[in-house]
Amino acid sequence: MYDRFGERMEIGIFGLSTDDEVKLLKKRIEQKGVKATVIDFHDFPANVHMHFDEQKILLEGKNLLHMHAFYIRQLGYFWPVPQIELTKEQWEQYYGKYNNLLTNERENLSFKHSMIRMLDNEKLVVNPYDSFVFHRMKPYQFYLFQKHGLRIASFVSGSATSIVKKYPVSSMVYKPLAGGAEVVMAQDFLKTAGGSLEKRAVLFQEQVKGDDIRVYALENGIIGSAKLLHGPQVDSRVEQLGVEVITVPLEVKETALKAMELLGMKFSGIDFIRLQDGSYTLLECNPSPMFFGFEKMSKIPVSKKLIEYLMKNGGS
Amino acid sequence: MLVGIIGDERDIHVYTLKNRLESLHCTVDVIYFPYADMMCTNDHMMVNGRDILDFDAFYVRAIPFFLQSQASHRMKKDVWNQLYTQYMDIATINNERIAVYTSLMNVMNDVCLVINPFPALFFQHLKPFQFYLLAKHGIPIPPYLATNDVATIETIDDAIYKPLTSNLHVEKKTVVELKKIMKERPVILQQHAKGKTIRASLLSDGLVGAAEIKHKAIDSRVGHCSYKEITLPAFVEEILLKCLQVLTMKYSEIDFIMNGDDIQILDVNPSAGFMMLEEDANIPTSLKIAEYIVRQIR
Repeated sequence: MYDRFGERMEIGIFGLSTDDEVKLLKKRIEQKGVKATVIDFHDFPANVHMHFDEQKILLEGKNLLHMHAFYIRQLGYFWPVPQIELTKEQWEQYYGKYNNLLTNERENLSFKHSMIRMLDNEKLVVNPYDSFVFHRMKPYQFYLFQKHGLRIASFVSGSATSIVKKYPVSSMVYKPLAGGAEVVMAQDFLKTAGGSLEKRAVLFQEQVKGDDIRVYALENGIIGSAKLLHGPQVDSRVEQLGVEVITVPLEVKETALKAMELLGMKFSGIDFIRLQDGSYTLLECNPSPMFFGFEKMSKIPVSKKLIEYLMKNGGS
Repeated sequence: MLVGIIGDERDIHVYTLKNRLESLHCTVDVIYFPYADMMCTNDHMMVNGRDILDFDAFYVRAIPFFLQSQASHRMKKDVWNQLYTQYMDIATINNERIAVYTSLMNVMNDVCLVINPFPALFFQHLKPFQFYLLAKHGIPIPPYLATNDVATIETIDDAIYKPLTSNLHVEKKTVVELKKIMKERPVILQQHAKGKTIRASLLSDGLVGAAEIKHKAIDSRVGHCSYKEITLPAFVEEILLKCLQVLTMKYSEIDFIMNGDDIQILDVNPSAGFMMLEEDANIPTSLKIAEYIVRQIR
């Protein structure tokens, strides 16, 4: 596949080369006769070498600005705080390195994020850099939905002790404010949080009972949707049993596209709850949704549609 | 008028600006996010018991992080090992509180005047992206390269080492030193611009003042330095105001080098300290920021 200037198309994927979604996308891109390059920062800075100025971004000699489009599977964290849970042994090994660790992390983050923001200015990047922050700013995501008239469940977020004193949260669900930790009933969370609650910030949301629906969409339309079949846990990701492909009503499709537009996303997995009366409540939009398992179970061609979008809008 | 200042009340910049705003009959609430009482619901975005919608403006002195990037002293191994449990708590608390207060800061941006707007605050930590935008808009900056590739170390003539964020000093490094650093982190190599070092204080509607910084080390923050107020030509003010526009800032302290009629921008600071210019060069930045806030609200 060639672009309008006769150059062979090349699409970059930011993510781990071992990641299922990355592997699937790479395969799909290559099936289209397009070159796929995985940009894996796992061994950065020791074994991944890059340099850039305002005119070029060279990764091991290859100029990323000559590529046509990019998909970001993983951006890494935004704030200079390592999020991995260190074991006690690892912690002890870090002794002596601590003073350098966070300084290095700040510098490494600044390098990668500056480079990706520069790419975002020059090329098609899915999803755009700015939309990734919503994964770590759920209260702001909810604020925007509410402000623009999209139906969401009641939520309360902020300083844990104030909220627990003021709101009857026990029947609500606890959601992680940042990242992908398990969603559990608030009362279960409160039992385990114990004494650390005083300094913590939390997000509780009204438990909306119904079917978990996942809708995949690109900015130009819906790819497909399904009911997620899962075990008795609150969080549908804990015990996934399968999917049942469904067609969502037109107004839900419009809500999904509107939500994505509000958050500046070009591609998303949007979560809804379908109530018994058939109405839908919007839960959230994911800037880098997993689709490998979903695609396998549902046969909905998420990855194919995604790379067709990248090829069409990246200059072919 | 109700103005929020995001920062630590013990910070001289925070309480100086608070005093200035109060002298202009503003009510000021200092919000220190690590300990602020925050509450977001479908209907209200509250901080310290006040709805963000009730504020007329915010001034952001700093986005706080709980986990400091540099410990003030080296710890003994046994002290370090005892901190393990505490660290895991801090990391969790840090992520959660940041999610809430960055959400609140974005809501602030949506509803009222914020100096500086949330996206602009990141330029302090994303210097290569700052340089890219300035260069792309034709603003003169010294040639630079952000790199972790040792093969590129000697591609910039007369290069100095710059950190990508603001925590480390700018200095000359040998090739051996750079190779050692680049095993752990990337660097910015930038051509050493020579001339007078100048810091200018600007608001989006004009220059507040400027001072020449006399210093011996490459980094004007290292060792003794002195400030002397100077007058800038109109064309320089134009370039400086363009920097603010490009980086979507409403206020900045801009560092640059001036050599005759040539200028080279070094750094556009989104949350700079203004007390040095205020105390040593008698440039009344805090009063001008306060007046700007009142003027913009009206």
